[in-house]
This record gives sequence, structure tokens and C-alpha cells, in this order.
Amino acid sequence: MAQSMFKFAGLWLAVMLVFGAILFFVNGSTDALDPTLETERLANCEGAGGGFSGNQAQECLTQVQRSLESLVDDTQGDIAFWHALTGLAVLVIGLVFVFQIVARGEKVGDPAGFRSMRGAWFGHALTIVIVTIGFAVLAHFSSYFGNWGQVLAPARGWGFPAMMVVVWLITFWLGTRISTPEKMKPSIPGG
Amino acid sequence: MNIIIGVGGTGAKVVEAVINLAAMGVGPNEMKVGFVDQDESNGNLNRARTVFEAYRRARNSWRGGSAHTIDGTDECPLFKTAIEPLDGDDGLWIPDEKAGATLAGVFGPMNEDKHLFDALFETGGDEESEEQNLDLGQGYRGRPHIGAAAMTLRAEERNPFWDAITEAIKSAGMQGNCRIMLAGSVFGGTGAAGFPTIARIIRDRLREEGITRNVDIGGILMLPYFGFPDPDEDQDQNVARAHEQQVQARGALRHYQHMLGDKGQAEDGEHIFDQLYLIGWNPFFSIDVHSKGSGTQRNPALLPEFLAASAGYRFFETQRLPDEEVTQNITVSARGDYHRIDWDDIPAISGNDEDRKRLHEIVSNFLRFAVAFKFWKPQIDDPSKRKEVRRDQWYKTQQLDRINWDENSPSQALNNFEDALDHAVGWCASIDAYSRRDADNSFELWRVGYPLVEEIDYRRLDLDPHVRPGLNYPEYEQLYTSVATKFDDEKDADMPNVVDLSDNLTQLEVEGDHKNMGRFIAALYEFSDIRPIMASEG
Repeated sequence: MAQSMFKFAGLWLAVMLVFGAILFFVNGSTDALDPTLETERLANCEGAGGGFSGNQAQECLTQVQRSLESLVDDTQGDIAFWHALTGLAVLVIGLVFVFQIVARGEKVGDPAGFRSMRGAWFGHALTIVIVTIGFAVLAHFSSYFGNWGQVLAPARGWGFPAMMVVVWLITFWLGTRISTPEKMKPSIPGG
Repeated sequence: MNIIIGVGGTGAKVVEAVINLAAMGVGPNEMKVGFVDQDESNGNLNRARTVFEAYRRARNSWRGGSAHTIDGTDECPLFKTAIEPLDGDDGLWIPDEKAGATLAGVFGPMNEDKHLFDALFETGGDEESEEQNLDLGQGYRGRPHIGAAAMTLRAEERNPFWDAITEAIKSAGMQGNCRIMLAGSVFGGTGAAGFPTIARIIRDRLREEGITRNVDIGGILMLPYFGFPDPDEDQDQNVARAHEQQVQARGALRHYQHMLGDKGQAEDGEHIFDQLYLIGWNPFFSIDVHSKGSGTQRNPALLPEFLAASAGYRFFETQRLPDEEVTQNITVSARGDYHRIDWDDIPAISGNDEDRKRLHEIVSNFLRFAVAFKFWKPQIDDPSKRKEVRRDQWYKTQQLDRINWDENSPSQALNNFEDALDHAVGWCASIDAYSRRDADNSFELWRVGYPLVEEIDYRRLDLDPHVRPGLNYPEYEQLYTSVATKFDDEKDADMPNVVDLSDNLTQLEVEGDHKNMGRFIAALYEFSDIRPIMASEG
């Protein structure tokens, strides 16, 4: 049992770190932000156009740049927080399933029993999809995960959650596959 | 060479028991089987022959070098014994095959000997006492002296059955050993007549051939062990009756005592049997229906026949004593508790008493295997189910994925296997049912009943126990651990259950050169041991 759970947790940790790093570094520049943010802020400098001398205008632009960089820093932290919470949810769901399937494997001795956790597997996979998307929606429409949902470029703001849905699904599939006893693998799709 | 000859209906039942034990893996590596019965349509004989044919078909399918074979004799001893008919045909000797044969007809014209014939055999009285003109087509009807006379006369004529015995004796005289086991009842007609008569004829032939070594004659003499009601008034009254069995047995035993000597030693009487096993039972097993013989005389398998079969195995397996030390060895065993039978009461199947657990292990292993077979066979033999499981790890570990079902389908071999297995399981079920029938009796050898076998109808002796074609999972799960008993020793680990079996099927490969489906059969058998498996991981 413990060995199976460690296998799943090991794979999860690897995915967590790799994709955490990807999310962190890919969103490490202002290019990741929604371009309208920069445009709006620059417009403010230009809007005050007549009131700024040459140095003041430059300073306004610098401040816009600094504020955007600060926003990037916040966004990196926020998306890391989102990634960590989503990942933790996947870990819990995965470990619960691994516990269930290993425990079931200790009780069944027939081919139908070997594939009896297939429905549960899809249930857990669906839960992962719902949790990941749900957290992404929260990130976009609430401040629970900071503002990264609102400030990232829309393609990224929805693209990363979509990517992570796939990543976590694959992680769940691969993790349950390597941690499920051979006998119970018919319960895992493609197992 | 090992030969077993069942004389009469009860003798045939003992041979049936020996064959069923051989299916389980208890038996010598080679054996020839013969039957002696005047009544060819006798139900007991027919069932024994059916079991024999089923055994041979199964063995040919799995041990005959076909595409699906079980290898070796130790790890998987199922059907290890090569059993062939004694005469190369069907193994049956009918002393007088002519329709409407009578003793008077067998002897023919007797001239001045007619008075002696009349003095020895009744005639001219009522139908019940008629002996000289009794129709022998349905056996000797509990009159062993008629059978003894008829058999002695016919055995002197050449026929394939006796030629085969003579040949076996002669070849043993030159090299090797020959063990001939006779089985018959001390009660009834054909068995009581043929058992001592045939043994004596064989012994005489040994003397005639000048063979004094390498041939052992054994006997399994069944004392009365079952009772049945007398025939109704409207039925034929010229039949054997249960209450006559004991009187007849007492008289027969006096005859044996006289023949063999008071102490069973050769110097006190005739040296006929090297080992003689007397097997009976008290109180009698109760059979509800009377049968006068012929096809309706199809009595259920009963516990003493199991003891008889194990005695037969013991005879074939016990290391032979040097000829000068051979004596008439008469073996007796008894229950420890009158109302209980368990494995401690069953004699060891070898001369070594430390080997007492072996029969328990083999029979229990077989019964657990049979339960597993009834569940797993449909999983692989049914194409739709096979399609579902073909990617399962257990399927791959047991190399079932390498079987070409189109060109080398094991379906027929599996059916042959199942047929013989059903006979053995049904035989155990009958013993179980009749042993437990009396509420005062505790039967602790095995528990073979519903749902593995349909409930037995005690009023329908013509119906053999019906073994169900398959088990569902809950039935399989429950039966797998309840069908057999583990050793009484408290240090024994719990018997492996169906989960352990499935784990082993998934992780372990069996050793041995089993081929195709034979590998799976051997795995199912080995993993159904009553002890935890200690095999190496594959």
C-alpha cells in the first residue's frame, strides 16, 4: 500500500515541480500580461501629455514599466499558489484512488473484480478536471488566487489551466498506472 | 506392471474409485484395468466404464503429447497414471456371454456327473430357489457358489482377458514386477464368487508357469457396508437382500479364514494374497431404493470405496518385500470416533506412517482446483469473456495470450478434462452426501455439495450427482476455502483464498514443460494447494 502511494506521490511531485517551474518562468516577463494593461497605463501617461515635461513623461513610462513588473511578480506568486493548490487537490484525489484500488485488490480474485474500479477511476479523473477548471474559474472571477486570471494575456489565462487539466489527467493516469498492482490494472484505462 | 480387476458391481465401484483417485493424481504411473461381471448391463459396472473412458479421453488430451499438455508427475500429478484396459479392448470379461445362459448350459451334458450337479445346485423348486436354470444375464443374484463354478470353467478357455493376465505373469517372471489387485465384495453374487476364484486361478497359473517371484496378488474385499430395503411384493424376489449380506459375509469370511489360514500366514493355509484389505462399515450406509441387478443396480459412491481406492494405491506403491519375506499381510484400520470420520482415520497411502498427510493434501488440492477450474474455465473458454480478459496480466503471465485459438483450440481438451473432473467431483459429492445423511455422523474429509453439485436425490439412484458447469464468483469464493479442510495442526497457516490464487496467477509462473493451456491448468492446480505457495517469482 505505502509503496504504491509513494509511487504516485513521486510522480506527482515531479510533475508539480516541472510544471510549477514552467508556469513560473514562462510568466516571468511583462510579455505574459494582458497587453491592454500596458496600453491603458501608457495611455494614462499620454493622456496627461500636455502636463508632462520630457523627463516627467519618461518617468511616467518607467513607473508604468515598474508597475507592470511588480504585477508580473505578483502574478508569478499567484499562479504558483494556484498551481500548488490544484496540485494538492490532484494528489489527494490520486492517493485516495490508489488507496482504494490497492485495498480492493486485496479483496478480489476474479477478472470482473480486477476491472471493478474502472468507474471509480473515471469518477476521480472527472473530479480532477472539475477541480482544475473550477480553480481556474475562481482565479478569473475572484481574488482567491490573486489577480493572475485577470492580468495574464487571455490566451495564457485560459491556456495554462487548459494545459494543466491535461497535465493533471495524464499525471493521474500515469500515476495510477504505475502504482496499481498488476492484477488490478484492468481498472485503469489502457492498463 | 500394475493390474486392478474389479469383480462384480462392488468391485467395479472400487475400480471407479481408483480411477477417480488417479484423476486426482493418486496412483502409480501405469496401471491396467479389468472388469469381471456376468451382468454386462450392471449399472455400477457401466458407470465405472464410463468413468474409465472419460479418464482415458482426458489423459489422452493432456498427457498424450498433444498441443496442450501437462508435464511431470510431482507438482501437477493430475491424470499422471497411464490407465489402459487389461485386454487392450474394453477390459471386461463376461464369463458367459451367451444370451439366456444358465449354469446347466455352461456345464453342458454331464452324464453320470448330473447327480453330483443336482446335489450341489438347486433345481425344480420355486423360482426363488432355482439355481441350475437361473438366467445368468443379470449376474449371480447373491449366489456366489453358482458364479464360482461358472467362472472356474470359463477361465480355462482361452480369451483375451485371461491371455493378458497370463502374459503379464510371464513377463514378470522374466523381468520386472507384476502386481495384481482384485477388488470385490464378500456379499452379493459375482464379486463374492469371482474374488477368491480368480485369485486362486491366478495363483495356480503362477505355479503352472513356475513363477515364484516378482508377482504380488493383492485383494480388496468389501464387507457389507450399505443396506437397502427388501423388494416389494410385486417385484422379483430372487435377488440379494440386505439382511442376508451379513449372514453371507460371515460364511464367506469363515471360508477365507479356512483358505488363508487362521493367522493369515502362508504356512497355515494357502498363500493366495500377499496383501489383503478388508473394508466394511458399521452402521451401514442407507440406500433408499432396492435394485435386483442389471442397469438399475447403480449404487451411489460411498466412503468405504474411498478407503478401498487408497488401499489399492498403497498396494501398488508399497515397496515390495523380498520374495522370501512375503507373507499374507491382512490390513485393518478403524475410526477413532464412532460418529466421526476425519483424515486421522484414513490410513497412510504408503507404508511410511509419516506420510499420512499426503492423501489429505492431494485430495484437498484437487477439490480446490476443481472449484477454481469451474470458475476460471468459462473465463477463458467463452470467446466473449476471453476477449475481455486477454490483456489482463494473469492472462499474459500464464501465457494464454500465446495460444492460437483458431488453429489449436483447447476447447475439446478442456471439455474432456471437465468430464473426468466432474466424475471425480460427483463421486466425492456422493460420498459426502451419504456420509452426512445421518445427523449423528460427522464427516470431516471434505465438503462437496451445492452449489458445486446439485442436491442429490436419494430416491433416484439412476441419476449420478450433477456437477454444475460453472460457478459464479461468490460461489467460487466461498467454496474454494470450504471444500477442503486444512491440517488440524494449529501451526498451519490459513489456506490460501481466491485472492491469493489470483495474485499467484498474476505474478507467478509454474515450473515444468507444460504446453499452452496445460500451463494454466498446472498453475491453477499448484496454486490451489492447501498451504501457502512458495514458488519462485516468474
